[in-house]
Amino acid sequence: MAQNQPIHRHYETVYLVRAEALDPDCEAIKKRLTDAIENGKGKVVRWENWGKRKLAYELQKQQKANYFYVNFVMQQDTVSEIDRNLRIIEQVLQFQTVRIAETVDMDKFDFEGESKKKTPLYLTPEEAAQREKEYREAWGEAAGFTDDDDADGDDDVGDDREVVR
Amino acid sequence: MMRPGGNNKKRRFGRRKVDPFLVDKTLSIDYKDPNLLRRFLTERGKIVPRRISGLTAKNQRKLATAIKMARNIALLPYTTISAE
Repeated sequence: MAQNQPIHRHYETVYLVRAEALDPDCEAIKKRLTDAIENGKGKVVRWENWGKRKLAYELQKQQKANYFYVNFVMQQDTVSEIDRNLRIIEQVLQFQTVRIAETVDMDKFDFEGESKKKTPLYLTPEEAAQREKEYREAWGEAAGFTDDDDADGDDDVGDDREVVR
Repeated sequence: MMRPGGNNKKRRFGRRKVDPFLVDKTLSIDYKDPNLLRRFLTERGKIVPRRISGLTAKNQRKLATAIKMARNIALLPYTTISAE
């Protein structure tokens, strides 16, 4: 291995764009990120548009946002560029970059296979239904969890011990 | 075990004895899968303890991390009390 070879790593970023942003705006953001990745000697593996989703909590007074996902390989010292770009764009409400793999050998990396993968939120309704079915099989009956905060919450520790054997 | 009122037949919380992630190897703990993770949250959005979720210690740790990551990008709530 050549010593000066920069390390490539596998990353993924989820970013949230304001719900009222128009398609050209979203495209512009996408373009900007692609450029940033390519300038960093990286390569985009795949893009996903998860569509407009309801937020679990308000962000900048917004109830909804467009979710985008990008999966890419990039040199480890230039990834902060992605975050910097996202931070600057006002249309972006929130973002999160995650490292998937420590080191990637650019020659051996399976771009083809990786680009065909899909995250759970990007599945078609049919695929999602199939997945849901598989869950149920693994789980058996859905057990209803209850919040421990209710009045008898402290009782269940003792109860557990009695029932175990 | 004595308790005032002697109510020993307390209602049980849904409790699993098996770790579903061991049963089905194709299931993985992923922060991008809020529908799956939501099964491990209480109605208030708290993470269900291992004693009830039935996960192995290792998986429970992974799960907690995944839930926290999902919360970061508003896929899951930190809490649901604030709403109303």
